[in-house]
Amino acid sequence: MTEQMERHTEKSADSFGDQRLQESSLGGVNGKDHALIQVHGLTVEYERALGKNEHIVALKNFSLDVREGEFVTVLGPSGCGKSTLLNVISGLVFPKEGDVRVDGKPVTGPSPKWAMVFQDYGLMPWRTVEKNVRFGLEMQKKLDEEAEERVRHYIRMVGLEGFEDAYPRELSGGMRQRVGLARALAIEPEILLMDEPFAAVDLITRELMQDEISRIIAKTGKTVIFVTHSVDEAIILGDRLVVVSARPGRAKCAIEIDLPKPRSEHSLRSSPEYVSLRDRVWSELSAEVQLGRGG
Amino acid sequence: MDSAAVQPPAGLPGPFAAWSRTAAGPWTSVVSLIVFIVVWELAVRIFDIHELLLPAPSVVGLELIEVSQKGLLWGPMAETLSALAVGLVASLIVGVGLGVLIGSTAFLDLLSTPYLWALRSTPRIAIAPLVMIWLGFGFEAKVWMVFLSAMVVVMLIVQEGVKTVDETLVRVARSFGARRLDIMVHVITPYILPFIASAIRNGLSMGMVAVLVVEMFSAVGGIGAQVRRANDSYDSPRMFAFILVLIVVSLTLIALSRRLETSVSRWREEAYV
Ligand SMILES: Nc1ncnc2c1ncn2[C@@H]1O[C@H](COP(=O)(O)OP(=O)(O)OP(=O)(O)O)[C@@H](O)[C@H]1O
Ligand SMILES: [Mg+2]
Repeated sequence: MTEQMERHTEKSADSFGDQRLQESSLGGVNGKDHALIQVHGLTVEYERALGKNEHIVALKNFSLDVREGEFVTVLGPSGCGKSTLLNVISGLVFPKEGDVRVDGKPVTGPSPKWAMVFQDYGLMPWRTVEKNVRFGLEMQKKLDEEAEERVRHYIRMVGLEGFEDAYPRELSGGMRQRVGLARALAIEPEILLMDEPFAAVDLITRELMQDEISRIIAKTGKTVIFVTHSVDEAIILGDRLVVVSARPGRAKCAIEIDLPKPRSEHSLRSSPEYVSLRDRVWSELSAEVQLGRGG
Repeated sequence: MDSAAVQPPAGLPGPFAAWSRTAAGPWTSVVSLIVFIVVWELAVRIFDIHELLLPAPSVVGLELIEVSQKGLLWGPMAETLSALAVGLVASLIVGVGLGVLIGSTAFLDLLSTPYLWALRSTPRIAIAPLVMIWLGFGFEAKVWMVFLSAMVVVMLIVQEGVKTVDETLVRVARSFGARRLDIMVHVITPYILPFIASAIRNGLSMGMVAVLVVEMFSAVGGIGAQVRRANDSYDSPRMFAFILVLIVVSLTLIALSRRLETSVSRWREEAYV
């Protein structure tokens, strides 16, 4: 499995840049035959913790196709089921109806092909930064020199050098979040499922991390589903942006983002294309947020 | 001994804050101990208190030298402590195992909890005669008493620990491909280590009481029997001497187990340690 994964990563690193260019020049409209992740008709219900027969419908008939190498950003009101979506895709939560396929094969559980960056960090409090970053590799029984090198590399990448021996309780929220990010990157998955990974970092760090993520993704051709609450972030990072409706969540609309890459918030602010895109996303989103509050 | 199990709050508010800071120094406690002994000695002499009621520290000290020379102290102490050690190790093995099993199985948890608490709240002194009827007065009976007293506490603490394991962390581990065994080793175990350490400390004080109860009932072997005999012959200095040694031994054991607890809890929030 792991070998396969590596081979794949190498291959895509060679060829992926061009492929993506071609696709976006085609207008980027769905290449169904290329869809790496196929989410089809998901309905997810949770049992209410206290009530006996009450259910919360987190997602209702949610469908989404993600092409190989695509960066999809997901926006939606709080509680609409975004984290649930990522959990289902990663095989941690099973839907009542519908299914998820990756590479055409139904997802039946976690796989080293994808890794999740958790919204609430999910760090082991008894592990230091370094050991937390190594966690995924350990679970995959990768403990060689290459694994060590990766751990060092990704700690450096998220800017946590010098904190290798710190425990999570000694870190700020944003630093914890970056540990969670490094842990996911360290297993070098094909697919990254990121649940508001930059929510707790300051604006400057956020921009640095956005650049860094875009760079890594462009270089390694990873496929990404990225949940965020920031409209700007969703536009800057995404090849496509999906707005999820108020709970129960459905994919309300998907917007292709054709702005040239690399993008930076700074340079885009004045571009009329960006401004109109931003307005459109904003109104779609605020309609849902108000619906969620009213209902 | 039970009061030793109660931890003081990390920072006392108001006027106590300054007090607890200064009291923390090692010299303060040495000085206070000396003052205490001197006051005790003087009080006994000035008010001419009878030895049977309250022997002076000097008398107790001399008695201590005498019993240890006669071989009445260290032999019985070894007997008591070995029963305690064997019973405690057994209760840890069984208690941790059962605690993990019950804590991670909702059905067993529901089924066993009332019984466990019933056992937990039964005074050990009440079951001691039963155990002695079953097993006699020897080493075996003591080990069983320690085991029965400590095991339930260990089990309850570990069970509670397993139940509070953060669901998110289990999920994280699974997302990175952890199997059941990995989750046991890499999530559950590190999480409950501080609980186990606290179980050791509690089991220790429980077990100490248990072993002494059997020895004092039976008056056959160990330090408890020595206390009983001294008591039966109204030899207060000797009783005080034994009790003094018991206090020192218990405090040492508790201090050691607390150190263990601190060292495995280092990752926790500062306030816990
Ligand atoms: N484990 C669970 N048990 C019961 N209900 C749950 C569980 N997880 C989520 N829910 C419910 O499902 C709904 C969707 O939750 P989810 O975490 O997916 O939302 P979200 O879109 O990620 O929200 P946010 O933006 O605030 O992170 C919520 O109403 C929540 O109460
Ligand atoms: Mg969420």
